[in-house]
Amino acid sequence: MELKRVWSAVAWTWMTVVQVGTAEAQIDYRNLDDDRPTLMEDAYPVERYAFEFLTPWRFSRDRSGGTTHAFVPELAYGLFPNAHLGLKLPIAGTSTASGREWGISGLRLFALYNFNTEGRFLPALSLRSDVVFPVGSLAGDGTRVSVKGIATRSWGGTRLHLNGAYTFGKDRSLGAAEAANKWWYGGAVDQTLYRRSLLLIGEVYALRALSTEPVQVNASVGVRVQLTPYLVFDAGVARRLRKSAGPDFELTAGFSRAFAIPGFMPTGRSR
Amino acid sequence: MRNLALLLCLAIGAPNLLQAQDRRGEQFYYPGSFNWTFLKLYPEAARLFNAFDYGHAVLYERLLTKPPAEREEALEKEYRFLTTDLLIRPPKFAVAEEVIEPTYAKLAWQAKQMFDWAHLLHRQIYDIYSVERLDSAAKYALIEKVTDYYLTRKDIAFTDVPKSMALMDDQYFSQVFRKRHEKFNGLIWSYHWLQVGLYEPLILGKTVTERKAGLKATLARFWSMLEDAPSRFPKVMPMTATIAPTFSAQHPRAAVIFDNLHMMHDIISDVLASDTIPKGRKRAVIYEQLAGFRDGTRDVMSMDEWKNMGEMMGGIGAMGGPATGLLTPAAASTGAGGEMKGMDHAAMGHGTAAKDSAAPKPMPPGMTHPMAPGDSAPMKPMPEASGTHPSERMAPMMELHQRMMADSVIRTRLQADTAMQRLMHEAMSMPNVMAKPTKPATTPTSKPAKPPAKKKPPAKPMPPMPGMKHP
Repeated sequence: MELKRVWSAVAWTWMTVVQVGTAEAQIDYRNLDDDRPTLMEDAYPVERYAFEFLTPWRFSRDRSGGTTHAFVPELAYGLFPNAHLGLKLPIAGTSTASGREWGISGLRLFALYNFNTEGRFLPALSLRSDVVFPVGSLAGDGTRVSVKGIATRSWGGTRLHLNGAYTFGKDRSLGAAEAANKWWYGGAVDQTLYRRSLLLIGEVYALRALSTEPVQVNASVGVRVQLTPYLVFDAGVARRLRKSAGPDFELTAGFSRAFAIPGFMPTGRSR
Repeated sequence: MRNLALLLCLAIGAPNLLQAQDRRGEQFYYPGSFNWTFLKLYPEAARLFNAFDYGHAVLYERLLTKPPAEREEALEKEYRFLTTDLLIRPPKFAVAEEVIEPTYAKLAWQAKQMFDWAHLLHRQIYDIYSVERLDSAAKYALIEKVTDYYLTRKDIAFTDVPKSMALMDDQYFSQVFRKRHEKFNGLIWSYHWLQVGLYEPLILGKTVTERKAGLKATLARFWSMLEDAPSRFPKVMPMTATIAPTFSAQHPRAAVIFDNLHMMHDIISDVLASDTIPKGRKRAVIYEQLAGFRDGTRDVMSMDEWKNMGEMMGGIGAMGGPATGLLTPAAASTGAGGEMKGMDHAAMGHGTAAKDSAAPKPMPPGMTHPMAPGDSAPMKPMPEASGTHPSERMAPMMELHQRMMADSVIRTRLQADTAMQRLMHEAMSMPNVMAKPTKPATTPTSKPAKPPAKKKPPAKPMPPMPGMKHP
């Protein structure tokens, strides 16, 4: 796909959201989304009736010197109480011998259900499932289904998140970005600076992309900051901890914006 | 396949395992371009509410986690932090309350959720009143709409039927907090005073300039409450119909919801502070009370009773004073036949705001309490002292005082209220006070407040006044 067409699609997505997004909204900088900016996410879904639109960019360089740019627009919606649905359409640009090849790297649909808020004894627990379809020139082969368990526990301004995911089915080639890895698990700690509306995050995780590939152990740090009542900026950096596998480094940055559409809201009694 | 079966079992069984847990249950607020206008136009007020959220949250956390012997010291420390730091430099955005009250949030998530949902309604109504492009009718309709939306969450919305004050004052645990921690309780009541009082200048101001001036004056009154704490704090819970009569007349449902919210704040403080409720029972008692406050069929009072409640509780003077009104220069008018123009009777505790709104009394020029959208009448901004000589402004003030003192009810009430006595004393000592908002102890932009113990000496000796004892 030509670069021009890719960026046209990005621009169209932005325009669409801007049009429906005239109803300003708020995003909580503490709502830790997957990959924003770290791999781990917290156990809480998008608020009911809220849309959340994310526009992240990621750059990664692997051990061989190959690089990938990924722009992963994402839209999530709080369709049910304590649950959200969403989709991602990653657009990737990978370095090749002849230059850089751009294309869509699969279509991902996902749903997250939160069982409980954190209580005196139990952490907040959620279950998430992703389905990745082979859409686009840089997508992987076949449709893949993943399940993820998420737990969040807090101690004042500090929270611990544990995530673990597994993808069913046989190994198939993976997409250039937002790939459905065979399995991964890890833990993240974040710290809230409430007067600055700022969240600092650090994580370590183990990941196996395919059954035949070595296990990566990577670490990331990141920050999320509330810019306006409805806009959050995030940024992060990741690095492999093992020499044998994982990215040399990854950089990411993005914006998240929440909004709602009046026509989708319950109206109550009329007067 | 085995893995899949295991995960399916987990997915099916988990809801049952987790049934006893609270659900997160968060829901987005009603969307519209009006949202966040208040923060944009009046950040000095909007940001204060973020600090208020901290104050509520830290109070509950300390009451829950500190043993009784250590509470006063812990609350005193938080009080100092609030009044000398956080209120002066409040956060730009909402405080993540779970960070401030982690133990309490885990104990009583539903209470936090109900408060958040009601605070959201509070905020949206400020936003709507702040939008310049909307006329009164549009604002009225929009406020009713967001109130309807608020009430769609029956599981977390306070009922719009007024709940009996006995729930706050006459239960076996009632009034524990306010008696043990008078100063912090007064601070919380001053928050509630401002939270409802700010509606008045936003409604009554005819232009942006007037609204800003009115809001500034109301904020100044809030800051003045922090001087010499707790003497200037409200002595009873500020009732919305009394502090915000115009707002309450226009939107009684929202006003009732806010009173129920504020009562529930006090109830939870009492439950947490009470020694008669064991720690293991506190969650259950709080949840029982919350259920009662969602139920509009029991322990309720009539709207008439609710409207008159302010008077029965001691009048506006006991609630921290009016949000606006008295700042209208009294010197501007001494009406014929002895009728004092520029005087809000409800504001002086002669009658409740609700009585006023039910049977409107003559209002001074430029100051009415509109009963319906579109009736919004101009309120004079609180002007700076005019060129009038202070003695000229003092004359009607003295006349006002003498007429008030002729009333035995007012006299008795004044004698019983040292704060009001002092305010009256200062008013009599400083002629300009009726033409200028009370100078705040500290303003949001000023340096941190001085320790509250410092007292100002009276400016001048005061001439003897009939019926008034000077301490």
